[in-house]
Amino acid sequence: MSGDLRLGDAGARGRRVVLSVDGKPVTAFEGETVAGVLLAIGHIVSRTSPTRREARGYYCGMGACWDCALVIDGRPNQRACVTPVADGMRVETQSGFGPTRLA
Amino acid sequence: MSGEILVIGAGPAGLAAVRTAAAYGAQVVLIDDNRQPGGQYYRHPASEPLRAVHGDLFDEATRGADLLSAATSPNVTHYPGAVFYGFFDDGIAAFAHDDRITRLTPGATVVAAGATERPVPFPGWTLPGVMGAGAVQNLLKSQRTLPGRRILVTGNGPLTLLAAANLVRCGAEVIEVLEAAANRPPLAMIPRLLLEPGMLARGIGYRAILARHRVPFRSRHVVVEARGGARVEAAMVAPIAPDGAIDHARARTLSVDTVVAGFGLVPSSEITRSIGCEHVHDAGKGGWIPVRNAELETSRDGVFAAGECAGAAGVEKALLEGELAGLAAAMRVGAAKGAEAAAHRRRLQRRLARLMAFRTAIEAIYRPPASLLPLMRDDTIVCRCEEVTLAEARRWVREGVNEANSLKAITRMAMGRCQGRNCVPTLTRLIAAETGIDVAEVSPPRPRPPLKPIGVAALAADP
Repeated sequence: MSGDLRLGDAGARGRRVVLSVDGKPVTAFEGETVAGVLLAIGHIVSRTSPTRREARGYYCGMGACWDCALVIDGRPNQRACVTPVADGMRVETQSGFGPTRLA
Repeated sequence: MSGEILVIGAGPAGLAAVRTAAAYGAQVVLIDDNRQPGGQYYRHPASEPLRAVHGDLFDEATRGADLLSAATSPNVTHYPGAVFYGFFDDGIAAFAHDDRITRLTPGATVVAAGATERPVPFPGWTLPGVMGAGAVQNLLKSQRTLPGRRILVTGNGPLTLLAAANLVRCGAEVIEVLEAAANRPPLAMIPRLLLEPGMLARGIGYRAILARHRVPFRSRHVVVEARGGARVEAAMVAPIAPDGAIDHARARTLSVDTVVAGFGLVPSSEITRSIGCEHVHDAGKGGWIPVRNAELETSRDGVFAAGECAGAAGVEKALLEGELAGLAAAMRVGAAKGAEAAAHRRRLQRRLARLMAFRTAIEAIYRPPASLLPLMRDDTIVCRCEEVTLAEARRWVREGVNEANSLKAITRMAMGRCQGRNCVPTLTRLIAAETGIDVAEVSPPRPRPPLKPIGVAALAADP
């Protein structure tokens, strides 16, 4: 195990993909979810809540609670725990309801 | 034959229903909101190399390969990523899939919607680093990643013990494991425990893993607070007195970065409640469950319920019930008939009766304290989505808003994206405590479609 929380040797985890998390490049492995990557590297705050501005993160792990929702490729409110990583994906911590999109 | 069988949920119960109904030659439509079949129990990594990492510890999907393949049987149409929308007049069912609403008129329906974790709010439970036992299981099973470096495991029930044992087996540093129940079998229950020696041995095995790694296991203990800035930095834990009172005077502080809080499961009965099936409150099975006959048919004709959504009691029960419901549904549409099908049904019913006798002993061992509401302080969040605090919710109840639908309307609790999954059990218990009635007398808010968020594109595309 390297510096992160992944189990097993990095070399045995399969094909690597590179995504960005808040603008910084992060290496991940095909088959991981965004939540898996964020927890592995210790980036555990997915968003700040709209009203009380409190930090939230991975909680139910099965797509039910929406607490791990954040901004993926510019789209707000994407659940990290059910979204597989992809090469070139842009992941950003969400503030409140996230950026407004028109169309 | 008269019509196809709709199966809602591709977890253990749903897949067992699909496999059985398909084996009898029925046409099956399987819908599930996950990308891969298997539900939470058979969750596995999406890539082969990841699947091999600690593959010996997490072999559920390998052992269940035959069951998982039921989703791709020739007479099964599987819609992954589909969300059940509702039942309408004339027996029409609808679901959202691929930004479209699809309708069908099934000859029989098996609801196998599973369960979600019981929310038990305590100060700090919304901090990043606090997560459910099922959340940890999913992280280990599907990501082969640990949740943190110094971990407290707290809660109630066998799933929480399993998550703790799995963390330890993966090399995580688990500081303590706390079980809120007394965790002792009443003498009268011991013969029932011996009905299922294999399952009993597995449970004892998990405790042995903790003991071997010198991880303290404390019954009648619970987390009382998680502290930190943007993530958990410490947890306070306290004993629970035999009368159920939390002994704050003897609280201790542990330095941890992760709190795994798993207080058992709540049956996902939203679907059966939304379509008007009769329900009953069963605390040992996790809450409100549909009333069913010996064939697992609900009070609504042709609608069967199987697995955790009809009473949280583990994967073995879900598999048996799924098979029984799939068989009963196949008999209903005329695909299964005759003496062979009837004998199959009797065999499953006998096996299920023995398993449920065993489960009553497990329920007795893990019977939680009467109320964990006192863990909350006035400013503790009860509704994570709408950020409603205990003080706000309680104020309305004390002003007379002591019925769940009204409390929902006035506070927005249960209106957020989780659709009440993380607040309804607290909301009903709060009403019960404030008005001095039993929680079984407080009906949860009526679920309304869509039961889970769906894109407006699906609705817009529907004429």
